[in-house]
Amino acid sequence: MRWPWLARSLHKWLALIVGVQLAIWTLTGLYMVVVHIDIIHGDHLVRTPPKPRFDLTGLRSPASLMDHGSDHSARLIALRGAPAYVLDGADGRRVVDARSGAPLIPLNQAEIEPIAKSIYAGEGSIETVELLAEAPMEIKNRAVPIWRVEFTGLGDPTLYISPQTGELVARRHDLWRAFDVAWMLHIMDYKERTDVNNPLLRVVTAAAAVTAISGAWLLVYSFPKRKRRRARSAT
Amino acid sequence: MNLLLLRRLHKWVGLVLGLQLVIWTISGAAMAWIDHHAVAGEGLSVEQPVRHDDTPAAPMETLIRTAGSSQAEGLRTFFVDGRQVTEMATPKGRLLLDASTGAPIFIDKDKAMAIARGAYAGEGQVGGVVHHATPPLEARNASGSLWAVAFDDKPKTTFYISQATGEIVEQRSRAYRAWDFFWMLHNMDYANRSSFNHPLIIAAALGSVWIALTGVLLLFKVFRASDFTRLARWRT
Repeated sequence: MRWPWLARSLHKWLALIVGVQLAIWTLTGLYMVVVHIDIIHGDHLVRTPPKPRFDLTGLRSPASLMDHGSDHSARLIALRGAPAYVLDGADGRRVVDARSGAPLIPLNQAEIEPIAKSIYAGEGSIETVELLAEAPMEIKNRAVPIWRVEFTGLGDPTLYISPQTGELVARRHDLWRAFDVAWMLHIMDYKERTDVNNPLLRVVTAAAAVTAISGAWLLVYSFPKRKRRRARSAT
Repeated sequence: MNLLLLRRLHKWVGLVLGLQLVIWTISGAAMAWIDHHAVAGEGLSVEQPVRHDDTPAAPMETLIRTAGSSQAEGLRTFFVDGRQVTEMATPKGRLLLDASTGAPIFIDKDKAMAIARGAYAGEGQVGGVVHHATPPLEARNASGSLWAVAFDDKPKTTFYISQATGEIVEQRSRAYRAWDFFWMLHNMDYANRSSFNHPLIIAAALGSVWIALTGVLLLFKVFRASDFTRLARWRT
């Protein structure tokens, strides 16, 4: 068998099968490396919250409010200007007053708007505020209900805020959404956009590796200098 | 476009970028084949049952007295090795207190070993404990000083335990280390393995776009009808 023929055939036929995906990988890869990940994450859309300062005098200790047998953690936050504990456990999340231990009700729309404005550092003003009972695709796996606050700025900036704690849960904008599509195309998981071990990806990446290796191999035969040297040594 | 010119450009850019293209495809394939559950360290530890004893929680006054401050930037209670602890961030520094007695807790070498053993799900024994003043490369997303507790098992399990809080902040094994090596090759950040937004990779990505697009265009030129008739003949 002639080796150049084998290299060329491998490269040509495999490229016919995976060539378009190779082009998609380079294009989506280019997008992901060119736009800085901090911009993708929307760091520029939010302010760093000031460090809280609590006076612990008169508060219940967190352990005294934890439900024995189910709660596994508690932390102190400021809610409606007063100290509160966020208790997380097997039965979900509860938020209680840090002085009395009384359960606190979730934040309503009138309370969420000023919070969203104080977090948001981008252009524009609030466009819509909605309490979602189901997490949309772009924040899947996040706890619901959750407040979605959309702003009028460029790229449809959106903040997701917890009704229980008033904390920012996620921030999204069009560069993030484009990154998510690029990522989906890059890992070839068109449904969940998360499985980096899916069978399609495994097969196509393996084929792509052989395509690249055979291409590199082909380079050996592709430059005329070699032929000249061989011709010279023959004489 | 002239076929010869297109092929030449494909070839010459390929000569410059060929090695990186091979590395990208091989590292990409490797990351697709290495199970990401194993990379995440799933199965190396067991979820510690939340063990509550009947000792009442220390009141806040006790915690304030031990800390020597009623001012806090943060307060958090969680479980370490089955015991409830409270972490208090005061303007003077961070403290870890026993939530029942209010006594300060220090995560020393023996404590770190006990925490690691308590959470460990494997068959091995502790092979060594190392202190890191700053996180090593394989625990780079953690912060502060850490205890690295290594087990002598087959996957070479290492738990990283925060010296400040006693929490297991990373669980590493052979699968992670292999994955992380390929991830480094993929993102071309050979020193820190974390950034994929640096000039080298942007230049390489631009070149690879060129290779892939000219390659796809070339596909229309390098195939002849005879290639497919031959293929059809093989099938019959």
